[in-house]
Amino acid sequence: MIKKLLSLSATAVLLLSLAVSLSVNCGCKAVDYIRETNARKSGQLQEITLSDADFELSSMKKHPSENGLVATDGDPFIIYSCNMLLSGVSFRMEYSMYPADMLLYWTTATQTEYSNSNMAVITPAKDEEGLFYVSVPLTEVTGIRIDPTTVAGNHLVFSDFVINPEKTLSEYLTFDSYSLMAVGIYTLVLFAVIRFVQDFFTKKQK
Amino acid sequence: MPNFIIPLVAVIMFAFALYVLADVNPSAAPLVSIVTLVNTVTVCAMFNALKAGTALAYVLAAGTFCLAAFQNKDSLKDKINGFFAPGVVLFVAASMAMLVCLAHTQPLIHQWDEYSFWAKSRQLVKNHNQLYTYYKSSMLGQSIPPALPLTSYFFQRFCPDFVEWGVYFAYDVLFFACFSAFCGNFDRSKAGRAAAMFVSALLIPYFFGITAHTTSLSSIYISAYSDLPLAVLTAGTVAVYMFSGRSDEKRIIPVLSCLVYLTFTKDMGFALGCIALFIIFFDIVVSKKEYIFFKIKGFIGKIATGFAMLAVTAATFLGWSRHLAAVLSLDRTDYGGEAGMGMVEILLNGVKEFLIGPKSEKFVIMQDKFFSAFFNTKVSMIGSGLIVVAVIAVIFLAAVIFGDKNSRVRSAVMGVTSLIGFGGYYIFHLLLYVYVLSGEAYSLASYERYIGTYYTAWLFMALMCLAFATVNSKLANGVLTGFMCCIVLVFGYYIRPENIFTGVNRQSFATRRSVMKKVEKIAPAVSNDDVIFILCGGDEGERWFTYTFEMDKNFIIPNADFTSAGENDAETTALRRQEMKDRFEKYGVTHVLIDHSSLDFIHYFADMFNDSDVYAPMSDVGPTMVSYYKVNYAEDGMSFDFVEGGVVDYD
Repeated sequence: MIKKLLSLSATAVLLLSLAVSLSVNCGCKAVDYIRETNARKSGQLQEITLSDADFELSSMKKHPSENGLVATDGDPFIIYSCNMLLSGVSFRMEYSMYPADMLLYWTTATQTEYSNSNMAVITPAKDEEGLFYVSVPLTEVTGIRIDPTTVAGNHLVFSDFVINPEKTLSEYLTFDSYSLMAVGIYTLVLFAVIRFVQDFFTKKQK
Repeated sequence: MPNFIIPLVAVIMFAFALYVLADVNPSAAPLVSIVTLVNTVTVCAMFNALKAGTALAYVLAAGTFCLAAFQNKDSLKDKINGFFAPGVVLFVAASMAMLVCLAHTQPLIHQWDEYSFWAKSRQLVKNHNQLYTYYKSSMLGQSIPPALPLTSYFFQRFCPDFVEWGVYFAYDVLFFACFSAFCGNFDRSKAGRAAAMFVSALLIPYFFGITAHTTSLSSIYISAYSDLPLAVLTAGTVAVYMFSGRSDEKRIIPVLSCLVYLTFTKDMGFALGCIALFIIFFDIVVSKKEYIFFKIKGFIGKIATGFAMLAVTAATFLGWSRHLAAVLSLDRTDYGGEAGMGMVEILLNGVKEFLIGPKSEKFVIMQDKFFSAFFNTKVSMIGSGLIVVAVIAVIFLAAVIFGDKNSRVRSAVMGVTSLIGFGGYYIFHLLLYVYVLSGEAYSLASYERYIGTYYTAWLFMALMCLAFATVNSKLANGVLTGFMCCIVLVFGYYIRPENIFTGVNRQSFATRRSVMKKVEKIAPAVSNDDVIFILCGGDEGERWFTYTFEMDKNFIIPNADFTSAGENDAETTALRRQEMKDRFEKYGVTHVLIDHSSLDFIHYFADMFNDSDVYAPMSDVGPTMVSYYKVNYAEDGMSFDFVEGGVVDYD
């Protein structure tokens, strides 16, 4: 086996590297999927729909005349206290100004402050205006906090606010441009490492 | 997208011709190809023949390719095979991948100085088909040399209109061409080493560009700034020389082309060009190989080479100065700034003050700041300048230890010359901070960005020396592979998907997009002849510059507050209104655009505005609104009539 690996041609090594990094990437995604489906089946992971009233507001207040909330300064957020397993959040949001950075923080039993180590960036859906989502690795959380905008005075109207929305297998397995780039880079990294190992040991055989 | 494939193919064709006809190392050929083509465009553009120059460059690429193919029609297959060295394959693959990614995510121009010059100039050149020195515009920095704008122009030649991400694409192709040049020592049998080098090169900009965990989008690979191009090109120039494989003038001529391009990149490019040629010169001197420069043998030939490089670099610098003097009547030697000194004056005064004294108070403060910044300011993912220099030193050391006899000496000498280069670059920046920058100097504004340029170039040079050593040493190969693994690990630790260019989405660039929406709102009422005063209350300038970029067909008058003050409020009001009228008449302002009013502005000017009945009064113009007014001049003052505006729908 090792001898075979050492005598592979460059092209074969390149293909092997590509295959390995592709399958590792897919494998990780599949493991995530299986863990989540199991958690859902056992009832640990539940889909919950929330409304504005469920949140504790900070630097935000109800809009005086219309639906929704208004940011009173540049660092508003909403908090939902809970005790549950978290896999992600999705919601619709209308805004009066572009919201700029949108973040999700969470606290755990050990990490009781909201900090950068427990944080994920909320991104807009590609094909649907106004829909936002974020996925996180399965975590037992004690609270989640959403920073929906960094623009003071922004008028936000949330709807369809879902915690732990269900995702299909294909949604798990899609390649975004980042994972494609990662596959490309890891292929080259593996290729370089295997070629180095080949190179290193062939001399000793001489 | 196909519009961008044509220039890429032209670059590859000319690179092939260079490889076949001029015996340029195939991996370095794409870089030499780009810089030579763009130099051709630049020189023509300086004589107001931009379109003709670009056509000439394309003809040159196609013509030489046909010639090369015709001359070698029997062995064409072998030649093509020889041309596609690992570096070239990676260059083509990376360029195509980047093209697809940029066409898919369509990043927008989004940084402050991009609006004022770095992207503005590309937009102007594309729209006018003329170099920006030839016409009036709202752009700042008309005296900055044009290599990068014209690279962008070359790549956009076949686009009907200006494409913003096309600027980024042009830069990225240039980067990948340099990365390919770094792989110049690796043929097909050493493709693994080439992969390690290329991946390291690809990630090193991030290594210096992101120094903390952050949620924001990094502009690396989607930026029109010149700091990274300067760094990569400086190293690329050295790489073209290092891996040439020849030992006569054919080794140096491609380097000359790179030096011309580097000097045409920015004023600092001249300094970096001098450092590059200094490093190359000493490498030629200590290199043991027999060296002939146009039949001049031995040491004198080496000296002649040094002079040739210096002459070409200086001539390029002076050529652009002459151009500025002739077209703009501008004296480029005057650097302006606090002391209003010329560049030579800065250098002479600075060196005198630095070495002999007496030092001014500012000099002493800045000197201490620069000294401690080297140890304390985080300039890379792993730490301060000291740590970076330690890493670079380790790589040079590995190159010295594992190299063969000749490359040992060369690596050691290059380590020393590049260190001297660093010293010079560092002190030169100290002088710039002392003499040119004023208020922001004390906070060392942009220090990481400016100094990072040299660290980046330096690290690449160290890796090139290591690349030399890997030829005969498996351990050196191990160091290179290990270095790549470290860079990948550090990258993985620091970077989130949303940090890098692949993370661009419809939420990115909020400021830019909100300005775009506002301009869209008033667009029906704006004609190209309008001369506009724009008010962005509460803005430090970014929004204002965004407007100048967005409304590129109009002349936007320079931004300044009205500051006259009288004894009492009524007097101040009268004075400020007069001040406004004087300035408006001076520039011939026809329209006023209000992005965001300010309390001060409302206080002194509000009743001059005749708002429409349906539209909220001027005092309400805020983040979600925009309004556009026509200026009426009268004997006793001015008034403004509402033309277009209202609430902007951002959804």
